[in-house]
Amino acid sequence: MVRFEELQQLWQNQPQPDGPALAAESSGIAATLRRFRHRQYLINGIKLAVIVWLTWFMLSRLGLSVLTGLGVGLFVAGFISTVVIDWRIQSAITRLDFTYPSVGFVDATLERLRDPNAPFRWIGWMCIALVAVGINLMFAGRSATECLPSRIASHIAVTLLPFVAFAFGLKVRAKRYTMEYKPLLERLAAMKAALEERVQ
Amino acid sequence: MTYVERERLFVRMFEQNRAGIRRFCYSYLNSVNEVDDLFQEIMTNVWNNLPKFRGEASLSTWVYRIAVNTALIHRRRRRPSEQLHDMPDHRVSTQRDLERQEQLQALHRAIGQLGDQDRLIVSLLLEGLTYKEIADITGITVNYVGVKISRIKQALEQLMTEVNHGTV
Repeated sequence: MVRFEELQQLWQNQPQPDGPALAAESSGIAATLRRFRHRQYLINGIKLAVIVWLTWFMLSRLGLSVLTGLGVGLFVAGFISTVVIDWRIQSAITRLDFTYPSVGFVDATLERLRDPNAPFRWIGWMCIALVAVGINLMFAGRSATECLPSRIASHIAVTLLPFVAFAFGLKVRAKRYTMEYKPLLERLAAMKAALEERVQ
Repeated sequence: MTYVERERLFVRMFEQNRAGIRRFCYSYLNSVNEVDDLFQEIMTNVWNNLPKFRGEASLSTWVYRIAVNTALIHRRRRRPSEQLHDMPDHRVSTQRDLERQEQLQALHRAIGQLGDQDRLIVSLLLEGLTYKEIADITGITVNYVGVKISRIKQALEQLMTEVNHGTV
């Protein structure tokens, strides 16, 4: 029978596979962090550009009045809040706390990955409601000359549009998460079950 | 923690744990090709979490905790059933070296046959970590670690004996 202590000695004295040197490894980490930061800058930059463009577009089309200005303000506030909150939640999801002991880490990771939209749901809908109110105010000024049925129809349309788009976005994201993280979730669930075996 | 302190701590950690963490990666993945990926992922997570290090556990235990958690969520390129066992060693020269190399390959094969959780625990044990340290890292009780290790040791010794006798 092989003794475990011998295996331990054999293991610790094994030749090291060729690995990158410290300098190369450090630069690799720095590069990874830089790439991550640049990607975040790019994504947030694009979102900001879209908001600026939409604001300009609406102001130039609708003309500036108190009602339109208020509408644009609410629209921008709702939109920016959605983007910022979403970005913070996404960032929190990807920044798992690796310093937890494994049992707690597995639990927290499972919880976060199982429903990525959960923390965003209520606050997200509230921000979208703000966007919808903003759009309605903008259209209220513009559609004053139209007939009543047409005004009602356009208000229903612009009210529904952000809600439908948001619901669609949540669905797409949930599906993408499920597809992307399904194997990981299954592995973590199995690991959790194995860790909890101790209780039985 | 200033940037300079962080960098100094990182370098100290790297020098102390580099070899152990690489062996840990290898034993968990059982694949030379992916060791670099996981190793880099662990080091990135260590760097990102360094400001949270309060010195409540030893630096080494803390680093292994991050290594274990990173390994748990690491995406393997190949399925667990597809395993590679060859640890490249170009320094094999004598008969004794050759025997050691064969034994080491047998050990890697035996570890590869264990489940994910057992593989993680045995990797830590082979690195010489105590039951208490393993319990701190995994979050399970010392008693349960003892029970697990006793089972794993038996399984591993049995597998190694079978490998040495050519039955596996």
